[in-house]
Amino acid sequence: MAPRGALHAGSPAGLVMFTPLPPQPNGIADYSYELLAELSRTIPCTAVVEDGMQDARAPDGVRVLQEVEYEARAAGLADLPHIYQIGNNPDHVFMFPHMIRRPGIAVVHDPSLHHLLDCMTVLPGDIPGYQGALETEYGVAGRILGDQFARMNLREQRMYFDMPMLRVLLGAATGAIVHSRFAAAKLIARVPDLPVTVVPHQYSPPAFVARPADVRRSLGVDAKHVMFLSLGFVTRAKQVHTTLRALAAIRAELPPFRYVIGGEIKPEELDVAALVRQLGLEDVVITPGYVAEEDFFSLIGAADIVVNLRHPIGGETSGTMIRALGGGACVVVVDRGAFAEIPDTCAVKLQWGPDFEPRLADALRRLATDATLRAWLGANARRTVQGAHAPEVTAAGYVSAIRRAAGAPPRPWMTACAWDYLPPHELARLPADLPLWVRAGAAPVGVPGCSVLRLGDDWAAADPLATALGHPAGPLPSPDLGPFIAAGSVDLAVACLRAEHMDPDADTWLAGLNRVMAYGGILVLNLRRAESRGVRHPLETRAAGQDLLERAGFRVDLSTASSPPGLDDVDVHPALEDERCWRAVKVSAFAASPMLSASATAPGLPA
Amino acid sequence: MAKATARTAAKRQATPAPARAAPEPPPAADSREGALLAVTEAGIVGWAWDAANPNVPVQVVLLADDRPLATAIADRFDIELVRDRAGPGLPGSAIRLAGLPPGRFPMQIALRDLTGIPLGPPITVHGAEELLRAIDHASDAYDGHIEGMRDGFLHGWVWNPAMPDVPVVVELFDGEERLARSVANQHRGDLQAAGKRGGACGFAFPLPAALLDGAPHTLRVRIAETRIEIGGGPLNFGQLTVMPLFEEVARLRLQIDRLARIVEQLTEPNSTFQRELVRALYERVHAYGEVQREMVERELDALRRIALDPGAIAPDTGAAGLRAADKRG
Repeated sequence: MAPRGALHAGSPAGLVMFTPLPPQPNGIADYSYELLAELSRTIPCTAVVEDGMQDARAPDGVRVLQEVEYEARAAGLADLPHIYQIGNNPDHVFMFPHMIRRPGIAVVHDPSLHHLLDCMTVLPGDIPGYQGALETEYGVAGRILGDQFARMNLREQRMYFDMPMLRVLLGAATGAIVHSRFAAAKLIARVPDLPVTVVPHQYSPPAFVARPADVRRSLGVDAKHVMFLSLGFVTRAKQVHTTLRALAAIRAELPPFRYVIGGEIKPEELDVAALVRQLGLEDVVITPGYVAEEDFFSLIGAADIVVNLRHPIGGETSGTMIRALGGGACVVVVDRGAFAEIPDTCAVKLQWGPDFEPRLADALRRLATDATLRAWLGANARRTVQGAHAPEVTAAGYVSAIRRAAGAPPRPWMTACAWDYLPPHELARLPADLPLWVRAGAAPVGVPGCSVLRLGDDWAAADPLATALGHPAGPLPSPDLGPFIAAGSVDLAVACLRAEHMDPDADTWLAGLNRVMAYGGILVLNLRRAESRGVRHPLETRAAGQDLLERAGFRVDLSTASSPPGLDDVDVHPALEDERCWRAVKVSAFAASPMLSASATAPGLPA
Repeated sequence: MAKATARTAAKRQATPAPARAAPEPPPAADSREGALLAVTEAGIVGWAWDAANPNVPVQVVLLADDRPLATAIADRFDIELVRDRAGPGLPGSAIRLAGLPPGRFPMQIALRDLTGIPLGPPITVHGAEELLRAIDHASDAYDGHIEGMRDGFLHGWVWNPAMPDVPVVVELFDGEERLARSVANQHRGDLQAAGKRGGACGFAFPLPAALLDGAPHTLRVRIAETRIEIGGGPLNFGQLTVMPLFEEVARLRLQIDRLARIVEQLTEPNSTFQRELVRALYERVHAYGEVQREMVERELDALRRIALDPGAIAPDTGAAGLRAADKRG
């Protein structure tokens, strides 16, 4: 053991880690226990667990607090880096309110957190919360999908993969740690401004491994048999059916073998027994049923070939897999996702494709008949993983991520402005020559610290924001968006445009506005036909304007026209309108293409 | 005994020539006459009468390779027999079998009266399938159940313990409208464990999207060509129960790209409900398409960023993961 303080130069004075801990039956609980054991050698660590987890165990020297205890001592801990271990299950829900109050580094164990969002919203019955999260993450597209879920219970399984909900759930994070480049790409794609660090998943040798001979004897596998092994709950994604078919196809070419499927089998997911009978493999397939995680490694140690396939891939890095490789197992994987990052010399990696099954059969035949090849792969895997995934490497990666997050600029998020508007009686007293957006009360009154952007070519000499609404005088309105406005920096944008000068590519223009605005920021858009009533433009009608704004990630909460007066939210003939204004709130950073139109209708249907 | 109308219809689909005897009755030793005509879905059809006692129905015995198979009373008038000049036109008989007779095919089926006098020449049945249509499809002959709707399919199982070698043909009905036909021969481990025809007696009817019109529906599964319904039904659903069906149809059976094709098929929706459905699916296709477009764009952009600056995601400790370690190794 290295002495305390000897490992990590520049280590923080301490850290706070929100995580489940043993004895919770959660892989991340075990992961955190081992990680804390390493980190606490150099950094004073505090682990925060969910209220009620008084049995939580941590390594010596690590202080364990329940949530209430943490809140009572929060003042003394607030300055320390906070780390949140985020998995895709209910055990991690408790930490999100804390992460919003005290942003920190999110350790993302699964690059899709849709199921976690489910645990936070749908399971407790908060359907509006789920809808809101979908809209925030995916704009008008998310709102459509959320509405259909609320009204019709429509939801595809693939939404859990295709809609990872990372932006919403990691909005308050100051940085992120992942365990594969694959997950890093997924994260950067969703949250581009979040500092992401790839840290190797630590390898910790299992505490106990039974003697292979004993394990084989208990399973009924003879010493001379080649033993194939697949582990874990049997789902179709684990391709056990493909492995069975491959083994059946090459059975005559294999030495005596047994295939052990160690995991719970649910026939409605995959009827393994029926398939085994159909393939005539009853005498070589062994299904011991559920296997406790602590017994995984005894099984792995007894196996000759571990078939660990996943397709489709979820993207998570498997701690079991790392342990199997570190233990010197000969492993077969699908060459996708995080598995593709295993060096070619450490495992058999098979490309997924239409001919996957024959290639799998070929690989299994080669491995079954070539003990030297198996030993070579296993030895490579053991040497590589025990080096690159040593606990001290992982701990150093954490320290590096903490430094990186501390040095990163603050990420813009929600506007801090509490909006207020002129009451009706004061609006009624405003001069009639003011523009419509002022008379209609579309813009809020000035609040301290509000960052205002004035846009467009239709501003009077006297700025109504300053003269009528009490905002500080600002710079002259810019005709269009320049490249120098920081993303998420604008709380209020007021765009006064003449219809004839309106950018015909309004989608792109509004997407640019979305980029510079903070969540919850207000966009006031005023459009005037100053010269010619016949001019056509993309925001010609109320519905068209609403469509455009929603596609650009805004929610319209006011739309009014100057003529005929008083008919808010009613479409009149465009030629009759002199002026129209909208007030919209930025609810999402998602900008949809013109393909997605709220007024789109199916062929043959009336609008 | 089958009704004359059923027999009439069945007679028109009678087995081909080899299984059919000549309609003319042979001379009988006494006043009794009769003949076997055909094996039909109404039963094994024939006629018999006693010319000396025309008002007394004749009791007949059916034999398979000289082993008694069934008895019946020839007491039904059949106008078709008159038209076919098969005997005097009355009375007729249609004998339904309880199961396949033991023995090997081809098999001689003969008709006699109770005294053993042959009534007409025997007919030859070349295979079990010819006799199957005459089996009595009594509801208690079948063992089966409708299990419910799952994955966009209506699932269930059925078999006939008297004929375990022959899979049962089933039909899905909405009210009295036949929607689909299938053979209950899908293999399932749970059925095998339960001792149901070696497990090979499951069926799954795909549920047509046309059922989602908001109107109440009554789904039944019947043994093909009979009115015998399988237990567990009928399944009723309408506006209150259609939501789970929506979910099933949309979530599992219809992937987004397939939804688009269904929308195209429903070019003439004829109810408000159906229009709503089409609109919802159409919006869904577009919304999901947008999500995927954005996902692809963003991930490509992220991969470009990582490729241009690999250090951006690597810890500054030099431990950059397995690949780096492998190179060192």
